[in-house]
This record gives sequence, structure tokens and C-alpha cells, in this order.
Amino acid sequence: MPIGWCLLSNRKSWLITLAGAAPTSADSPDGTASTDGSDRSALQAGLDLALAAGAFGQRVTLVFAGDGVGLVTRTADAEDPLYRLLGSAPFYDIDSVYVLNKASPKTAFRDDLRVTAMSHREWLAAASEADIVVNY
Amino acid sequence: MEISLIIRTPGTDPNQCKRAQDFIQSAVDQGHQIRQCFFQGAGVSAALNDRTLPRWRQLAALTGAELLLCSQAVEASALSVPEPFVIAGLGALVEAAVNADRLVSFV
Repeated sequence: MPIGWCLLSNRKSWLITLAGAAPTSADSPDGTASTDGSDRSALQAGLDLALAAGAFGQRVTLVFAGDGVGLVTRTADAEDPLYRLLGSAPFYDIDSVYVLNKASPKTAFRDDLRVTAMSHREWLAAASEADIVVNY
Repeated sequence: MEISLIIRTPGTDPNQCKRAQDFIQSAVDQGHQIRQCFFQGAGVSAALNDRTLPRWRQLAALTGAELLLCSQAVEASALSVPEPFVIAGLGALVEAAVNADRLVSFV
């Protein structure tokens, strides 16, 4: 039986957190993190997995933290391939994404995605409810 | 319990890869099954180096687990793929995660 059919009949909830490398001194003053020079490969790998899981009918909760936050802020480079790739998330049934509450309240998020703040307590609750928890 | 692994450990520290291999050995010793190991990113080239490859072969024979190399990483590094490794896409990783009882990552 093709992989797709097996997966569609076995729908699980995933919590995928994209943090990349630890924040560095290159972070912007408003508390959001720069995606320049960080572990972009981890962010790319995690985002690819999230989209693949979404494509196979899995329920994906996507959370951004640390260096990953740069991908959901309005100040990020809109021409960045990773930024643009994230913009396709709704086509994979990932309709809202979350940001761990470290960003400043003044942080402006990109408007092509529904971005919601998530506290650490909420993240822990989401992790305990999810079937599959993966961090990148 | 059936366990699948994501392995992204870079080759710069051989102990990181050894940790994943020791985990597999311990899991099997305790009666668990290893379903698949999916090597992603830096984990692909780390899996294929001379220090780690013999033990991966040994563990594959012991566990019967599929050793899957992320197709993107193989293509990017233009690596040749020795047996028992197989090239696979992210669909295989999703399948491994969904069908296993536990998904464990080594970074």
C-alpha cells in the first residue's frame, strides 16, 4: 500500500519546534533573533519535515523560538527562500503558527500567516498532548 | 516497543554518533525493536565515515532496522550510498514517526 494512504488513515498530532542555534549577539534589539549565520540547516530541515507531515494529512503544530522567530517577524527578509517556504504552510493545512513568548510585545509578525504567542507553560501542555514532539 | 530515530549528529564529534549507536544497542538488549533510523542533514555524512560505518552495518544486521539517508542531504553532498543504507525522502521519516511507538532524535 502506498505510504500516503497508510499515513492518511493514521493521523497523529505533531509538535514541531524550530529554534535553530542559540540566540547570538547579532539578535535585533527588540528581542527577536536574527536568522543570519544561525543554524539555517536545522530550520530548513524542521520546516521541510513540518510541510511533509502536513502533506501526509498529519496535524502539525509549528512553534518558533530562538533563531526561528526571525522567520515569522515582519522585519525578516521577505525574499529569503526559507521565509517564502514558510509562507506556503497554509497549503499544507498548517493554518496557524506559534511563537514562544520571548519576543517583545512590540514585535510585528508577518501578516500572511496567523501567528499566535505561546507561553512556555502552553508549550509544555502542547508537548504532553502531542503524539510526536520534534525540535530543530 | 517500536522505536524510530532521527539522527542529525555532525561528524565533528564521533562521540555523538556513538551515543546514538549505544542507544540502539541498549534498546535492543532491553527487548525493544528499532524500526528505522533516518539520517538527516549533517547526520548523513557522519553516518558514512570510516569510523562509524562498520558499527552501523553491525547494528543493521542485529536489528533489521532500515537505515535511511535523507535524499536532500545525499544529493547536496554528492555522496555514494553503501549498503545497507538506502536513500529516502521525508515521507519515509513521517511514516517512521507515525508508525513507531517512540521517535527519538539525536542532534
